[in-house]
Amino acid sequence: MGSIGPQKLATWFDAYAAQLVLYARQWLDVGLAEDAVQDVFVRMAAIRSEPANAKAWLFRSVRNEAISKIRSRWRRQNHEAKRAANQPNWFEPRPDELVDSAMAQSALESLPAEQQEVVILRLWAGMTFQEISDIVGRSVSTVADRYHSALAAIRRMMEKCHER
Amino acid sequence: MNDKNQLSPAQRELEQALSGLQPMGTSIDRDRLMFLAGRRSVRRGYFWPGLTTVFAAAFVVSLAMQLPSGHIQYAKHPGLEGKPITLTVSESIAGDRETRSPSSSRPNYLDLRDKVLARGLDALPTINRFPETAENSPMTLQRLLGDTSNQPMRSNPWKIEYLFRWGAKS
Repeated sequence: MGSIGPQKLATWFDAYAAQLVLYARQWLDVGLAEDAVQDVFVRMAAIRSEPANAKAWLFRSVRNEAISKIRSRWRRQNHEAKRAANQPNWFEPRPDELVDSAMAQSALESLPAEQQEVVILRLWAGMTFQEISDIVGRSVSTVADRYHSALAAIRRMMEKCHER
Repeated sequence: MNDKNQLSPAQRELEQALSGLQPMGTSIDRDRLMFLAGRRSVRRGYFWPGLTTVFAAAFVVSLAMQLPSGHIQYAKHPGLEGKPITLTVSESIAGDRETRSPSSSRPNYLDLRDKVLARGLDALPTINRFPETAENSPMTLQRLLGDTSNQPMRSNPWKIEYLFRWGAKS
C-alpha cells in the first residue's frame, strides 16, 4: 500500500462527501460539518499508507473530528443558536421521493444520538453492522438493536404525522 | 449476523424509502480541497528539518565557544588613589605586550612620570649630548663669533648685522 494519489482522493470525495457531511451534521451545523469533512480529506492526503477500508476510515475520522469540533461549538453556543435558524435541510427535496424529506429529517433529529448515528451510517453510507460497530466502538448486536429501535421509532413518528 | 434477518416487511419498506432520500449536496470546493491536500502531502514530517536545525545550532554554538573571549581588567595607579583606570584588552594582546616590552623598563618610566607630574619639567633628566670638552662644547653664538673667553657676550651691533645677513642669504 502506498500513499494516496489525487485521483483516488477525488474519487472518494465525489463518492462520500455528501454522506460524510450528513453524518457530521448530527453534531455540527452545516458549516462546521463541511469544515470537518474537508479537514479529514486534507489529512488523508498526508497519511503514508492507504487505509484498508477507506470509507470506514473516512467516516471514523469525520466522527472524531466532529466530536472534537463540538467542544468548541459549545463554547460559542449563542453564536451557533443564531445561525441555526438558517440551516439548510439534510436532504434534497425531490418529487419522486417515497417519504417526505422534511418529515424524515424531523424524525431523525428526534432520535437519540446513538440511534441517529447508526441509521445514517446504515442507510446513507451503506455500511454493514460490522463496519458500523468498528466505527462507533460497540458490538454488532448493540448496533443492530439500536438500528431496529430507530426504525420503529421513525415509523411511529411518521404514522403520527400522517394521522394529523 | 445477517443484517436483513430481523427486519419486518414494514421496516424493510421504510428502510428502502428512507435510503432513497439524497443527502444535500455540499458546498465544499473540491479544487481548493485538492490544493490543500497536495500542500499537506508534502509536509509529512518535521524530523529532517528539525534535525538539520539542531545540528546547525550546535555548529554555531561550537564556533562561538572557540572565539577568544575578551574581558575587562581593572588596575589602580599608585599616584591616583581612588581613581581607577579601566583598561580593556584581550588576553592575546596583553600577552603580546608582555613579550615585547621588557618589564624592567616600566618602573623607571612610571617613576619618571610621577616625578614630572609632581615637579614639572624640571624633573626631567638633562640629556648630555656633548661632552664637556673645549672642542665639543655646545655651539653657542659666542663660540660662533670666535669669542672663546667664556665671558658673557656683549652686544655687538655689526656682528649682529653680519650674522643676520648671512642667515638671510643661506
